[in-house]
This record gives sequence, structure tokens and C-alpha cells, in this order.
Amino acid sequence: MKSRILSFSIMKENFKKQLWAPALLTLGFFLILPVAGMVCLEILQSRGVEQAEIIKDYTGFLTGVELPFLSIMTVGGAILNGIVGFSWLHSRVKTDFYHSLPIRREKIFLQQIILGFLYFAVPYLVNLALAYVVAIPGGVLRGNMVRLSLECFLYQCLFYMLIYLTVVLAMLLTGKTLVGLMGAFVLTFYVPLLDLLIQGYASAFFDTYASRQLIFSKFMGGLSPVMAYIRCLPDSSYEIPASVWGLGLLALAALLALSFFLYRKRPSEAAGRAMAFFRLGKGIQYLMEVLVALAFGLLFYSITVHSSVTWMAFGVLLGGALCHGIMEVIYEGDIRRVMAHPWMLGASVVTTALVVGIFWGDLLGYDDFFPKQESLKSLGVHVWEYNNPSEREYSAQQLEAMENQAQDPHVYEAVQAFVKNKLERRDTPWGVMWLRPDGTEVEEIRFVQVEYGLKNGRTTYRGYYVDKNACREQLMSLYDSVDYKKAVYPLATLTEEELEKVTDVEVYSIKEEGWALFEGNARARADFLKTYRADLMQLDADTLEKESPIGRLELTLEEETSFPSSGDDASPEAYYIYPSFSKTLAELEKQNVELPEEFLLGEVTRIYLYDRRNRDGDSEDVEIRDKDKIKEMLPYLVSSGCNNGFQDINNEMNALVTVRKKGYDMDVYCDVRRGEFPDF
Amino acid sequence: MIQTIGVSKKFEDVQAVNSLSLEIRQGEVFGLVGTNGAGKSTLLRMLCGILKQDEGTIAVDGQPVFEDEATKRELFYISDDSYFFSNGTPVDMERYYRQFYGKFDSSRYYKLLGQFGLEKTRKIRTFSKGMKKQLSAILGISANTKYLLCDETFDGLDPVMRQAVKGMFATEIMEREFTPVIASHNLRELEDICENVGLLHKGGILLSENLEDMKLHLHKVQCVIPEEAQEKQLLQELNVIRCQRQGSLVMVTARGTRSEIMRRIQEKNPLFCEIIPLTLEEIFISETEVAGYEVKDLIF
Repeated sequence: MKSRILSFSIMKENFKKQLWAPALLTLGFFLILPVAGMVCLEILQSRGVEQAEIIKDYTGFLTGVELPFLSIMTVGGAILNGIVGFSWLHSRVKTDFYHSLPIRREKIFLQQIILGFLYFAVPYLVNLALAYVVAIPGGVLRGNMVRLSLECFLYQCLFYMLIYLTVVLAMLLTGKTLVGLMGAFVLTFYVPLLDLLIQGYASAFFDTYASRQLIFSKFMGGLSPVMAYIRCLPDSSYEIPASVWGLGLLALAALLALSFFLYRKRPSEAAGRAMAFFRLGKGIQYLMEVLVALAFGLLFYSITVHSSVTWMAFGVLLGGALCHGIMEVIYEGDIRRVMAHPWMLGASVVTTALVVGIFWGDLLGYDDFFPKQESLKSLGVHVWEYNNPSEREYSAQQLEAMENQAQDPHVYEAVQAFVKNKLERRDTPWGVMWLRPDGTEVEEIRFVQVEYGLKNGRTTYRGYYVDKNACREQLMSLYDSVDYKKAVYPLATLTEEELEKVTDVEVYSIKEEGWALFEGNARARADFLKTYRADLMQLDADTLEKESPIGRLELTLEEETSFPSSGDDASPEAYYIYPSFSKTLAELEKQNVELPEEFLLGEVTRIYLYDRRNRDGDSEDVEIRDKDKIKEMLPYLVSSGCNNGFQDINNEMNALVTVRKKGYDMDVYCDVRRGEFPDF
Repeated sequence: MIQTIGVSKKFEDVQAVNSLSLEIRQGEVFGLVGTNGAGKSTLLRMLCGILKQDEGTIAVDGQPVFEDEATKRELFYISDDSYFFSNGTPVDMERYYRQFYGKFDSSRYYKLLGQFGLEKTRKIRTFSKGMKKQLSAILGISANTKYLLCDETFDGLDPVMRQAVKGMFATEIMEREFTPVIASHNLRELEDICENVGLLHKGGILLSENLEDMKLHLHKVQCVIPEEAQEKQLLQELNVIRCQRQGSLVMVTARGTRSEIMRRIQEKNPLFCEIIPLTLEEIFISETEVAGYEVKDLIF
């Protein structure tokens, strides 16, 4: 008599039947934990790496932070066990066998779920223990290492279960294993793919889309267990936020309850049918058709020369019909039924057309968005390519650092001017960002990204391609704001303690094309950086417009630390040095580091001016070899690599400057400042 | 007792079982006959709790079957296509079933395996179709359940083994409380073992009666009546269902008791007269014709 929910003997018998799956996982864990661990330790010890470093690396290895193998085992194991454990539901013979036995279905389900967990957890834990044993002889094993690896074990188990239950759900919803696999893919990736498509449409149709997640993207990623897993993978700090545990366990409970409910509702006769639940099957088909129609629409819109909506409509129809046909054939098991249920195709296409219409006509007013100042809690502005040689894609931290700009009325007015400038050009023909309303071409564009933090708690992002000349005043006033500098330059906000964490300060001479290492201890480096910071904070837009950088500083932080605005990016942070940075240059002189201007009169042997837009045409190029003329021309030249974005560059002209260095002639490509330079 | 009242089951657009009411009394051997697609397997799958009926009630010993462990412990289902674990042996199957059927008689199981010449440690996937059928029947018998639901169990067995399995059933019936329900599309397979038979057609039951009762009221006689007029009169007097002639020999299937029919024939001074045993097939033809069905066109 077996009336208990858990019967060890029944589970043991079921385990025997599925032995190969845990065996495969055991082998995998054996290879990636004790075996690979032994190899890893041997390599590290043979290289003479310090014990502390070995311990650190081995901890990273055991926790899966260093290598992706544990993640592969987690995702792969979940998919494998989900299929092995429940694919019998797709066989009538097997379903009849199990469902004829005197055991309640919920027991069969729960026992299999528990087995599925044990197939992963036990081999993992056993091999983790073996990996500890491997670390004992070298004296590498530490209590903290065990604690962290066990925490990561629990974390992997949590996400294993989330992915596993998603696969189980797909198996329950379908009646054929192949369809089940497709279902698992859909359940796992539908939301991220939809999110990607929506962002694609936003990018295609919204002029102010700022390549940041849309408002619903934040939680959409969480609806895919694999994406959530990737997003929440612990980093080198090994910190797993409590919210991950909380939400993860909640999602686990929800998935378990849903699977349990569906298992009980699932009719035995569903085995062999494409979908176990007819209506649900149609619902999934509808969602798939909309997704594929959206994808094809965007694809045809993007690949065609003029990005026409006609091509997009063709793509929507083609994608919808293709997906409809494939799903009907799968559902009906008959190629002749390829166009069955045409109403379904109609509904999908109409829905897709509605979605496309929302983006095409900007029915939600995305591009018109500009909040009133009183509704703003914070405002972050960042102008792309502004005097930041190591500029990265904006990180959330960076934008958050700029939030206090909301207090500065100049910033709000500047943004208002950007919005106005963008809106003025909204109805210009295609390539909106390059034409003025009067049809003349915009010479220089600046991309301004704005983070609006609203008082209702919502944060939204917009990007504006603005006409640099039309908005010159606002752009310059923005740079003169101390808050802006604090946000753009992480160095500006580093504390004394953080400054001492800078392990290397390297100075690059643009003219010499050579590096020098700042000599001195942490204190000296910190003092030098404070001097540089003072110069940097005094730098104004007028100076930027007139001067070209003569050098660059590159700062490297201690390992496992990063600049506040850089997120996880640990690459060195770089800053320009201008001729007006007198205090900085004086400090460098003490170190025998000189940063001469790039073009010294005595070294320039030739300046070749040409029309940048008509290089091969019949425009007249000018060659200057006369020293006096060269002297007059030099202030107008900006080496291409030194364009800080503020200089007023003549877009019609470029220069090739020949410099004689150490007996060799070198050509340097330059931009030419706008201005009244001599008529040669 | 197994009782179904107004049971229906539909698979998408196909009505597999339609408002079916049936009673299978304890201790009887019940045959379930019908053409392919008549609903036999569906009915058996509902009786053992695999499928849930859309309408109606199914009760075994007064208890519902679906998701009722206690009731299902008294039922063993032998599918027409039984499942055995891949790489499993008869020993593995015994161990597995033993977990679910508390009264599983292992010693009996191994004894029967020996009697049927089935090796207990051989992989079942190497067994022939007939051997698998034998194994299923042995497992069903050894489970010691009150009810054994067999779906086309004799199909694929050679005549010797068929008799052996039937013998095994007969022994069980004699030794304990045992009610086998045997579904088959072949009437001839059932006639020497079943006491009661239900005929299914298009998901409904055409009739369900005791085979002996049916035989008591239906007889097949062959006789030679010298006088043509006498013969004509005899055929008018008898409730003839079928009449065939081979020369002067007349073969008549007629309703009525044996003594009544024989008395009327004797009154016509036959040269020769003999009662011939009726096949189940013939009984069904006659019974279902009464119900207005041309069953012979359907199932034979």
C-alpha cells in the first residue's frame, strides 16, 4: 500500500529507469569540478602563483564566476531532466501504463519533480565535495571558499529549478516531444524576443529612442528564466541580492503550482497530440504568429533600401502566413491543413498591424514626451563624444550620477532647447537628423541622452540628435555646469580613499606617441590626481573650443574595483590634458614628463588641404610648404584623434600634415577649425 | 461489480463512447466485443481510471475509479500494447508492480513465468509479441486484483498459448474472487471463456447478456423433411432467424426452447434431425437483428 506522497521505493524504481540522465550529469560535474579543479590548481601552482591568488581563483572556479561550465550544466541539466522526466506524457502507451497504476497523479508529478531536482543537486554536491578534497593537499581549501561555493550551489539550484519547471510546463502543454521542445524554447525566449522586437520597432520609428530599455523591458527580462539567470549570475563580489532569492523563490512557487495544476488537468488522451489543451494551443499559436509577423515586418523594413512601410506590411503578411502554416501543420499533422483556421491568421495579422501602427504613428506620443519641470524629480543629461576619450556606453550609474542636474534650471532649459530642435526637424524627409526644416543640411550633430526621473517614481530615457550649431549655446552652458562634469568624469567624485586605489597613472604624449608612468607611491599619485582634477574642473567650454589636447592620462584601479560610473567595466579610465592645465603640466615636469603641442613649427614640412566631401572630384587641393604660411595655418589644425567635440570644425575641409620626426616624414590627418584662416 | 451509467467520452470531434450503461457482475467473465473503433479500448481505459469520462458515472464496487488509489488497487489493466521499461526484464517489472499492488504474488509470478517458459532475467525487448502478451497476462494474474481488464490480450497468441492463458484465467476464477473483462474484436476468441458479453458499436452498447441465456432461447437445427408442404409449415411455425438449404438438408436457426423446436420438427416426421451448437457469432447476428441492427454487415 502506497498512500504517502513520497515513496522512496517507487522513486528508486523510477530512478533506475532514468539512470542515464543523472549519470550524464554526474560525469559532467565530475569533469568540471574535481578534474578541472585539479588541472586548474596544478597550472596555478606550476606557475608559482601566490597562495592567496590561488585561493581566490579556485573560489571563483568553484562558484562558476570564472568559468561558464557550471552555467552550462545548470541550463543543460534543466532541459535534459525536464525532457527525460516528462516525455513519457507524449507516449500513449507509457501514459496508459503510469495512469493505470494505483497512484494519484499528483504523487507521480511530485515524485518526478523531486527526482529531477536530485538528479542535478546530488551529483553537483558530491562533485563539489570532491573538488574540496582536491584542494586540501595544496592547502587551498578555506572555510569562506566552502561557504561561497555552497551559496552559489543554492543559487544554481534555484535557477535550475526555474528552468527545469519551465521545460516541464512545456512538456505538460504539449503532446509530442518535438513540439514540447519548441514549446520550451517559446516559454523561455518568447518574452526576451518580444522585448528585442519592441526595442527594434522603437529604434526604427521613434526618433528619440535612446537605446536604453523601454519601461516594460525591466520586468520583461524577468519573465524568462534563462535570461533572468544570466542577468543575476553572481559576479566576483559573490553577492546574490536578497531580491533575487525572494523573487526567485516566488517564481519557483508559481511555476510549481501552475505545473501541478496543469498536470492534474492534463487529459491522458493528450499523448500524441501536438497540444494537450486545444484552446491554450491556439493561444500560443496566436502569440507566435504575432511575434514572427513582427520580426519579419521589422526585417523587411530594415533590409530594404528605403525602409518602406510597404515592405514592412509584406514582411508582416509573409511572417504571419509562414508561422501560421508551420504551426497548423504541426498541430494538425497534415501538410494539406497548412492554411486551416484562416481566422487565426487574420487575427494575428490584424494584431501585428495594430502594434506596428502604434509605433509607426507614434500613437503613444513617445517622441513628444517632455515633462514639465515641476513634475521632474531628477534630470540626467549626457552629451555623447564630449571631451571624454574613454567614453563608454552610458551605464545606469553614470546617468544616476547626473540626476542632480534637475536642480539646475540651465540644464532644464538646455534640454528643452534640444527637444525643440529635434521636434523642429521631425517632419523632414528621411534621415531626419541630417536636415534642417528649411532643407539645408545639418553640418554637425550631437547626440544628447537624457534621463528623466519623474516624481511619480518612473524613470524614462530619451536621446536627441541635435544640430550642434543651432544648440551651441546650450551645449556649451551644459559643459560649464559643475554637476555635469561631476557626472561625466568619475574622477571628479572619487574620495581620498578611492584615489589611493588608483594603482597606475600613465601619461600619453600625443605628439611623442609615447607613454610615461607616473612615479611615486599611492599618496603621490593621489595628490597628482587631485591637482589634475582641479584643472579639469576649471576647464570651460570656451577653452575646449580653442585648445586641442596634448596628452592623455590613463588611470588603472585596483583589481575588483571600478570607477563609480563604469559599472563592471574595469578598463582604464582616460582623461585629456590641455595646454591650459598649468598645474598638471608643472607636476609632470617634476617627473621629467613633457607634453609638447602636437605640431611644432619646426617639424611641420607640409600642410595639404583638401575638400573632405569631394576627395576624388575636381576640387582644388592646396599644398602649403612655406613656413610662414604653415605658422599661420597651424592654430586651425586639430589632429583627428584630438577632436573633443567642442572645436568648431569646418566640415568641408580636411588637412594632411606632414611632420618630420627623427629623420622620417609622417602624415597626420587633421580636421580644420572653422574661421578666417588665410586664403592660400 | 463494475457499473457504468450514461458514460460518454469524446476525443475532439470523435464520439468514442456514447451514453453507455453497463453492469459487470463480480465473478463473471465479461467479454466486450465490437469492431475496431467501437469504443472498447476507450471504455476499458475509463474503467481502469486512465481516462476521465466526459459524462456519466463509473463505479467499481460502488466507488469511483478515477484518481482513487484504493479502487484502482483492485483493477489491473492489460493494454493492447503494453509498456515495458526499456532494457527491463520480467524481474524489473515484478519489482515495479509490487510497489503498487500490495497483494502482488511474486512466487506465483515466477512460477507462471516458468510454466510459460519465459526467462525472468531476459530483456523484454527481445521477447516476441506473443511472449510479451503472455508476460502481461502473467503480471495481471499475479497482481491479485479483483478485476482484470484485458484489451485484445489474446491477439498475437498462438492457439496453444491462447488456451494456456485462458486456462490460467479459469484457474483464477475457480480459486478466488476474480472478474476478468476481456475486450476483443474477435467473437470466436471469447465464446469458450465468457459468460456474459457486451456488444459495442459506435460507442454505444447494443446488448449485454448472458451467453447461456442467449443459447437457451436460440437453436440451430439441421433436418430433412420428406414432405415439402410439411417443411413449409414447419418454417411458418418456428420463429426462424435464418434458413439455409443444401439439397434436401435444411439448416434452421430459430428462437425458442430446445424442446419446443424439437417437438415441432418431430411432428413433421423428419428423416433426420440434429441440434447443432451455435457459435457466438450466430447468436449475435440473431440478437442484434432483433435490435434492428444489421450487425453482420458491421462486424463479421
